[in-house]
Amino acid sequence: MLTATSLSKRYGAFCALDGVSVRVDTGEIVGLLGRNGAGKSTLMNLLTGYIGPTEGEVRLDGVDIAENPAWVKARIGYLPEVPPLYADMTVREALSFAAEIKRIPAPRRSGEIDAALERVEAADHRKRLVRHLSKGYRQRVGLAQALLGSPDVLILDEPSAGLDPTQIAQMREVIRTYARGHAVMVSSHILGEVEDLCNFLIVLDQGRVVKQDRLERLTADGSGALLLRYPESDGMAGAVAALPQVKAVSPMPPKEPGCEDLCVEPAAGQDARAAVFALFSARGVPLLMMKPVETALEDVFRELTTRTESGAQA
Amino acid sequence: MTAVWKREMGQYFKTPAGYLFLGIFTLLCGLMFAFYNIRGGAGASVYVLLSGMRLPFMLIAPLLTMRLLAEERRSHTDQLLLTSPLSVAQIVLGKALAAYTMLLAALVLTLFFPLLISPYASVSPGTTAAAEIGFFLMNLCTLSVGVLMSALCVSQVSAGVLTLGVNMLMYLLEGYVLPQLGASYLAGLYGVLKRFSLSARYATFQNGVVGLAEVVYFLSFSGFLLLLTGLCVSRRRWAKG
Repeated sequence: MLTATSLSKRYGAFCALDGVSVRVDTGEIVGLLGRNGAGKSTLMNLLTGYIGPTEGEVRLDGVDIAENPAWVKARIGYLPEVPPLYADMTVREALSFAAEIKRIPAPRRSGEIDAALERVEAADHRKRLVRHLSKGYRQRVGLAQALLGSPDVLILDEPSAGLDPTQIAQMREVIRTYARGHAVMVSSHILGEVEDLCNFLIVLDQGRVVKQDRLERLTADGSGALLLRYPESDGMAGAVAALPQVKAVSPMPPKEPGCEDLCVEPAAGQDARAAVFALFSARGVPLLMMKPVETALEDVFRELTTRTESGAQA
Repeated sequence: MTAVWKREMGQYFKTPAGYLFLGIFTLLCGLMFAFYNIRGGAGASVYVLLSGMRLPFMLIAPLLTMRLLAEERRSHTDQLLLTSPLSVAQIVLGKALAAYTMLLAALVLTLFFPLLISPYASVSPGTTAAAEIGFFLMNLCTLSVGVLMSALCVSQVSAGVLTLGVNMLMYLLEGYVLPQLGASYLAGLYGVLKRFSLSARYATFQNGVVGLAEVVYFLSFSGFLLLLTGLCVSRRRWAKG
């Protein structure tokens, strides 16, 4: 497990990162969201030991990166925004060099390189010079480089930047598969990608963490409101509104032909789900959908980052 | 460290830099040999030959060093090195050792010249070896200046120009400014500063003697420059602006 505690990075008077504490657990894909200049890359550079913090510490399984950098760095795979590949080497040479400096034992190197290339579906390009690769393949080879040695933690800075939709889907699949036994952190500008890939989100703004939580909690609106969908049926809205657990109902624009959507606001401190279900069951009306009302991630992101902006101006 | 050394060695021969360096060095040695040893009557003296190579070596040394760290920063591949388990010292040493190896290879080629003249002049193996060792040690310093300049710049060209500038400055100071001091009322100061002169230290090798003090001086000088290089790379990582 990778933890960062009170990380700060200052460049003179400019504070790139201010007291950031984060944690990445095994099996989790943590998404790092933020506008340009929010401090995402700085945070990733600090977590991987590329730069040192002004204050704070980074630990992997309790080991401080400042005290034992070689041990920690050997267990972190990093794909920065620009894949760090030597343009004059072939893909295989570049990965072989990376495997050697990552201290992967010589007998295992070849197998590791082949496995990493297979994983990112770039095995056919092993003999090509890096400088001749397309942006998409460079990104794949960069990911293969980060995956060498199966690091405990994989940190990816904008991994799908510049990729076409097919390549993005493949990249996400590789990340998802890898996260099953490892910890992964991904930064992205694409909210849809974060929503699709990550189960935990950290929102950064102006060098500070403005929110970090599980995706479903971040997008839940907090009121406990429910969204119902059922076939058009007279009087159902009124019957739901009459339930003692319900405070108010409001019809929503229908999203499916022949169906009604209803937003149900529960009474204070009440969970209306069981009562709603029983009502529909008793009346023989099939309940096609019942889910908590969610706020779009885009709205959450905009609200969080605008709030800090207006706070800063005030 | 070995991985970095191997990569840099491969790099010298994947680009024209390594061939250019060895080619120009050998060509210039040939010219020096023709002028000093054959026409000038220095016979098989490698010391005379290599003394004449001090300035030409300064001119071509940037070919070996200017890319080493500057190019890593420009192409962002320093992110791979600095996030790997390698320490900064291992990275800097691996790169410097590659440049030193090229110098060694160039010096091996110069052994051809005493062999060429051996049927006509007596070749002293001891004096030859001392001259080669002295030149090698002296130019570890020249190359280490280049490694440091490469760490200070993002552009290879700037690193090359700076390397040339600093080495030339050192050369002019010890070759022209210091002797002026010796002739003035500052002769005492001259005595002190002369101890730091690379050329003056190299001169002690001409009689076939490899002095411990000289060896330690050259190695310390190079070591100090590499230490500064390491500090420069580390400082940037911990920069506060």
